[in-house]
Amino acid sequence: MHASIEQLLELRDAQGQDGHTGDPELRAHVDGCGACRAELSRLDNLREAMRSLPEIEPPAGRWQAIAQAPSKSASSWRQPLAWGIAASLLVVVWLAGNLSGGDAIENRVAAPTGDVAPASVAVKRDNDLDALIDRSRRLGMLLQSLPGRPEVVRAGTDNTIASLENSLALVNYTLSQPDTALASGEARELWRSKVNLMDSLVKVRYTEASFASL
Amino acid sequence: MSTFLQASIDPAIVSRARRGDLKAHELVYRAYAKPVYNLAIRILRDPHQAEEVMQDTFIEVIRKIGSYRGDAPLGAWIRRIAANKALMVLRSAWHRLATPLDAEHESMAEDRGAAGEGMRAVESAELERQLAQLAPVTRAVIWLYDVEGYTHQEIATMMGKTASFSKSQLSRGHQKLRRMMAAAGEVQTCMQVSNSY
Repeated sequence: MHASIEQLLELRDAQGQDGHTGDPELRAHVDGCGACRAELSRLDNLREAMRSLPEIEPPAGRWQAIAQAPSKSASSWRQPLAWGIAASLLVVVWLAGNLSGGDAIENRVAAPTGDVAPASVAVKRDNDLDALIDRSRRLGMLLQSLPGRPEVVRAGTDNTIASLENSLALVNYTLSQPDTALASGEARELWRSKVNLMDSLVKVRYTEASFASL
Repeated sequence: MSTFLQASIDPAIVSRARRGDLKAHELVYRAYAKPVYNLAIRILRDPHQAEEVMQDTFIEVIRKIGSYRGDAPLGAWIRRIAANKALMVLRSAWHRLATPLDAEHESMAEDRGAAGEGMRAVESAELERQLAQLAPVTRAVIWLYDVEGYTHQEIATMMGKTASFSKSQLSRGHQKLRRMMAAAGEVQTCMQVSNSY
């Protein structure tokens, strides 16, 4: 049998330390096993290959934006402001928990490790058109409750928000046309799109506000 | 060796930066912008997010450089701030919403390939592609450990996890990379993986 990758990684890293060669038994096995020696060598070469990857030039012209960013000294008058924003976010989270009837969007928005259920999963439970309309109303209230956007915004966040708002405007426009006779299936799809877009918008705005209050 | 530790800056400039000299701040930025951007883009694989991490990192560097005591090299101090910022993005819901399509990953690998020469460029592009296919957290652990030289304990602290988590992510990532390389014909497939030998 051969050594596992985990064992070989430990051996590789022990080799780099002065006076250490790793587990002697493992070392003896690897020394006498061509396959393990080759694998150890591959892991070593891979690390070197990663370290040798070509460097990527950062975008030019970022310094001006950084230099012009307002100072956020924690000891200044801004600290009460940060606490105020944090408090308002807590209120929003509480509000969402009560508004969304056990399907608190912000609980998912704030989940830190990738366990957030996509909005579409949540919507599947609300196939009924009335439920979608009601959900859209609640999300609208939630968006109104979020703090205003920060003075300094991230370009990527700004683009994402603009894109979501544009898509939302298009859906709203279609839904608001009095002459448009929508089949119930089409209307449901449009409202589902609207709810998904609003859910995404809440997530992005919430995350932006969280960053801004740090 | 981490490029953060290869970059050097005159201690006099650091002293000026600590006193709030704007020109010195810019020189710190010029010295470390590339390592910060590269760390962020290797972890996040998204140029826009990497740019934001770079911007946030230097805003914090400038804000806090007055408290930098010089106990560790400036590069290591900046690297820690950048790594924390990149991991914070990785943890956020925002990251999932803004994660680019695979096509953008591919174009990034092609860009890097075009910058190199011959076989080396092809190999670099292939490695970029394989790294892009790892789960974000696994890729972050591999990069922080193998390239930046952080220990498992340091990575665990930054990620709010245990050292065992970091070790298992490293091992899992290398296993996946090996499978991808085997599929691409870059390694022989007869290697058996076992806990005993």
